[in-house]
Amino acid sequence: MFSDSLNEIISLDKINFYTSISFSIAILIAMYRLWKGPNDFDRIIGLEFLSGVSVSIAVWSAFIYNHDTYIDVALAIASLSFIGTWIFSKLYTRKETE
Amino acid sequence: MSILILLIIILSNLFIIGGALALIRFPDSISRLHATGKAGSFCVILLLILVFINNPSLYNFFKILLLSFLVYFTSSQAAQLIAKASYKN
Repeated sequence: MFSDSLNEIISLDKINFYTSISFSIAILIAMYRLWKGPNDFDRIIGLEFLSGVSVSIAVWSAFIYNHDTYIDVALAIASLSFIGTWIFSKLYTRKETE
Repeated sequence: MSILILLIIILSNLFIIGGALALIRFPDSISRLHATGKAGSFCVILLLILVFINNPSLYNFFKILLLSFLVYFTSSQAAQLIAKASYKN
């Protein structure tokens, strides 16, 4: 358990605080791109990046709470976000070709 | 070892902030797609390496291998699908 040896240099709460600020900035920028993208495809890209940040948050909480079950949560989020991106992409191509 | 863990955490935060900055600053739709797919995937891979360093076991290793394969595969395929849909438009 190496997260205890990290506790001598800098406190784990401080690392958790700064990493939460970084993830929050990334989520806010992705929500901005999702709210007003000039295109429809920019909204899909923003949704994909938002799902990537949420997978990253799940893996980060697996590290910070020492629970391995959060990796299963990340796996479910990753597979569902791929299906969502696929469906939206197919929808917009079919609308343009017909 | 704790220096390595701190370096991985700082690099992961840097990559996620870089991806978000590329999402708001790039001018085109294709360049945004190029930047965010790789930055988000690499942040996830760095955090998975961090989890495996923290708690190494065989069950954990196979789960992390499956998740990293899934993240890289779906990221590239989703980028291909969005680029094809944006090219047909």
